[in-house]
Amino acid sequence: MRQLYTQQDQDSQTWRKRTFILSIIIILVFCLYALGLAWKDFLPSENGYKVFRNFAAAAFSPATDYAPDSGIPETAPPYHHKILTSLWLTLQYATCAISIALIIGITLGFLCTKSWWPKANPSILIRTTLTITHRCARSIIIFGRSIHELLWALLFITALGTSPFAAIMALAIPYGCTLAKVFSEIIDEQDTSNSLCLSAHGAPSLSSWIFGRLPTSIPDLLSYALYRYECAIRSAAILGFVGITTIGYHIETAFADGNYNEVWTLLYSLLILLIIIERLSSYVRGRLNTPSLPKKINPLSSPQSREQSINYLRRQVKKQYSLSIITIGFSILIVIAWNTGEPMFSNLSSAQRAVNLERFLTKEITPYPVQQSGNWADAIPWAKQLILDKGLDALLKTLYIATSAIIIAFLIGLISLPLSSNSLNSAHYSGISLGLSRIQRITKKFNSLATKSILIITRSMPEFLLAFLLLQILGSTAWPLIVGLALHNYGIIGRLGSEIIDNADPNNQKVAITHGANTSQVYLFTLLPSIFNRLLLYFFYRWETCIRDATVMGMLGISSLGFLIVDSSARDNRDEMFFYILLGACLVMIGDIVSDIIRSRLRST
Amino acid sequence: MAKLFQLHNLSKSFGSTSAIDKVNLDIETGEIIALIGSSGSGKTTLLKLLNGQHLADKNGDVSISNTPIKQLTNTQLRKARSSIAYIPQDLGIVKNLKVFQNIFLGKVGRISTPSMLWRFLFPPKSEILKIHQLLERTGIEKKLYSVTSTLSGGQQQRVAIARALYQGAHTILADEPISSVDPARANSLIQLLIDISRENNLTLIMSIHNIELAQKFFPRLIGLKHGKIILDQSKVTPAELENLYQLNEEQLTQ
Repeated sequence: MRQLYTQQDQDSQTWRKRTFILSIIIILVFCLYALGLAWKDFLPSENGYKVFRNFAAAAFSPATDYAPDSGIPETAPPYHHKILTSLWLTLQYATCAISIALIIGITLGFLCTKSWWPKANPSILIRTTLTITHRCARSIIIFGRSIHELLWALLFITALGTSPFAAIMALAIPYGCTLAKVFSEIIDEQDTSNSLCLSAHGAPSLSSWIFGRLPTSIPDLLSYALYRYECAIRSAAILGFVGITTIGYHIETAFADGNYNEVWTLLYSLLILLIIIERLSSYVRGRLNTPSLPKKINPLSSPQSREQSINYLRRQVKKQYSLSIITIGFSILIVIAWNTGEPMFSNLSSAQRAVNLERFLTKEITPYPVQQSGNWADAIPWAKQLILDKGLDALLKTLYIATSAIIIAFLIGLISLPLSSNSLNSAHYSGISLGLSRIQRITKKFNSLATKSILIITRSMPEFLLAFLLLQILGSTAWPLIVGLALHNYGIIGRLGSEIIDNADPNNQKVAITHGANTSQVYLFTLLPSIFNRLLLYFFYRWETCIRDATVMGMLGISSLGFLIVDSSARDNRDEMFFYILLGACLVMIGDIVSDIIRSRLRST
Repeated sequence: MAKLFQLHNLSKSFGSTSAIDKVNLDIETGEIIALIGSSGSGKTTLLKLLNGQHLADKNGDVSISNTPIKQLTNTQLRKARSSIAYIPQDLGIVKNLKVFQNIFLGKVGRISTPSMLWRFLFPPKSEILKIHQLLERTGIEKKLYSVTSTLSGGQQQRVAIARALYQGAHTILADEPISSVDPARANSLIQLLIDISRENNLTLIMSIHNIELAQKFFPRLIGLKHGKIILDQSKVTPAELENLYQLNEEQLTQ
C-alpha cells in the first residue's frame, strides 16, 4: 500500500512540474502577444545596429580622459576625478541610506514578528497593544515596499527639490521596509526547538527569543543586510535617471552625447565596485557559516591548575580579525558618508521647504476636481476616467512585462543551472569520480567559469540600466525592458539555483552516478526533481520583485505605468502622477500577497 | 522520603487522540527512573507534563512538591521550571554559540535578560571556573570555548548534561538522550547521568528505547502503552516486554 501511495505522489509531482513549465510557456506567449510584440521586433533596426557596433567597439577602449573636442576648460579637474566622484556619490548615498534602512528594518522587523510575544496568557491590555503595533508595523512595511525607490525619489524631488536628502530618503524608506519584512521572515523560519527548550528551563519569552532564536538567525540576517547594501548601490546608481548626479546620470548623458568610451569607463567602474561588495558579502557569509576550529599551539606541560588550562583554551580560540576589520571599515565608511559632500538640503531655506512641502501635500497631490470644488466625491469620476483612459492598460502592460521577464529568466536559468554549479563541474561529485577525460574536464571548467562570469555581470548590473542600454540598441518596443529585467533576474536565479545544487544532499546523485549517469542526466533526473520546489519559491519571490521593478521601467519612455508617471510629472499634473504611483503600489501589493500565498503553500508541500 | 511529583488522574489528549490516559504516579526525591514503551506510547508527553510544557486535561494534574501545576501563576510556573532540567530529544542546544554560552543558558530562568546578556558577552571568571569544573565532570573540558556545532553528537549530549548541572535543578528530565550514539557511548552516557544524579541527590527521569540498558542501570522501570502505565517495577519479564511492545498491524505501518 505504502509503495503505491508514493508512486502516485511521484506521478502527481512530475505532472505538476510538467504542467507548470508548459503553462508558464503559454503565459509567456500570451504576455508577448498582449504587449503586441513580434519576434522580429527583437532584432535591432538599421540604426540600432550602427549604435550597437559603435557601442560594442568602444568596450575595448574605455575613455581615460575627456573627449578631445568636448570643450572642457584647462582648469577642469582630472578625468579620473570626475569618474571617482560620481562613483563615490553613488556609494555615499547607498551607505547613508542603508544605515537609516537598518534602523527602520530592525525596529519594524522586530515589531513584525510575533515570535517574542509572551506565550502564556498575558493580560488583555498587553495583548491588544501588541496586536495593534504588529498590524501597524505590517501595514507600514507593505506600503513602504510597494513604491519603487525611483518613485519615492520622484516624490521627494517634487516636494522638496533635488537634494542629497531626497536621494537618501528615497532609498532608505523602501529598503528599510524590505529589510523589516525579510528580517521578520528569517526569524520566523528559525527552528523553534531551542527557544522551546529555554522556556522549559523557565526563561521568560523575551529571553528565550534572544538566546534561543536570535543567535541562529544572525548569519542570515547579516548576509541579507549585505545583499541589500549591494542592491542599494545599484539603486543609487539609477537615481541618476531622475536627476540626482550619481553614476547613472553620467551614463545617461554620456550615452546621449554618443560618448560610448566614457559610458564603458563608467560601466566598468560601477561593475568593479559592485563585484567587490558582492565578493565581500559572500566572504562574510562563508566566515559566519563555518565556525573556526581551535588553533594548534604547544600543549601545556601537565599537571596544571584549572586557571592555567582555561587560559590555555582561551589562547586556542582563533580571533576573527577579518570580520572585525570589515565591521570597523564599514562603520568608518558610514561616518565619512554622513559627514562629507554637499549639505543635506538644497539651497532653499527651511521656511521655503516647509511651504513647498505643505503645498505639495495639501494641494498638488489632491485630485484636480477636488482642488476646484473641495468635495472628495468628485474624485471618484476623475479616478475612474484615469483608470479607464490609460491606467488599466498601463497596469496590465506592466504586469505582462514583469511576468514575461521572470518566465524567460527562469527558463534560461533551468537550462544553464548545470553549467554554473560547482559540484557538477569538477572531476569528482562528492568523492565519486565522474570519469572525465582531461579535455572534458578543461571544457567543463571553462564552461562553468564563463557561465559564472555572465551570472555575476548580469546580476551586478541594475536592471534599469540594462534596459536603458538595450533600448538604445533594440529600439522603442517593450523588448528592451523585458530583456533587461530578464537578464538581471537570470543572474540572481542562476546564482541561487546553483547554490541549491551545491548544497543538495548528494546521496541520490551518487547512486545515479554509480549507475553510470552523466552529469546532465544527474541534473535532469535526480537533482531537478528534488530542488524544483525550491526553485519555484525563488521564481515567485523574483516575480514579486519584477512587478515592483516593472512599475518604473516605463520611465524610459515605453508605454506602461512608469511612462504615465513621468509623463504626468513632466506636464506638472502632480495629482495624476501621485494617482498613478498609488495605482502601481496597488499592483505591487497584490503581487506581494499572491506571491506570499503561493510561497507559503509551496513551503508546506 | 518527600514526594516530589504526584500525578493524579493525569490525562492529556491532542484533539481526538489521547496521549496520556488517567495516570496515577508518585515520584520521590532522588529516584532514578526509566520510562519505557514503544514510539507513541506517551513517554515524551509525560515528560512534558512534568514541567508544565503541556497542561493536563480537566480533572487531573501534576503536583510538584505538593503544589498542583495548574494553580501556579505564570511567574511561579517559570520558577518551578527553573528547578527542573529538561533535556529534549534534539537537545535544544544553540549550535552557533560557544559551549560555555550554551551552559550559561541553563540559568536562563533564574537570571534577568540584561544580566544574562552581560554574562554572555563578558563572562565572569568565577563562572567560567565553575563551568570548566562541570565540563571536567562530563569529560569535555577541552571544548569550553569551542563553537557547539563543531562538537560530535555525543559531545553535544554532554554539553546538555553540563547545562542541566549548571542550572542547579532538583530534577533531570531526559528524553531519549542516547538515541543517536553508539552502544559504548550510550553506556557511559547513562552511567554519567546516573552517577551525577546520585552524587547531587537529583531525581532522574529518562525515557529510553534500549530495554537492556534500562534493566541494567535503572532501579525503577515504568512501562507505558497507549498512554497508560502498564508496569512499574525493577525487573521486566520477557512476557511483560512482549505485551509492552506488542502492536497491531495498523500501528506497525504508521
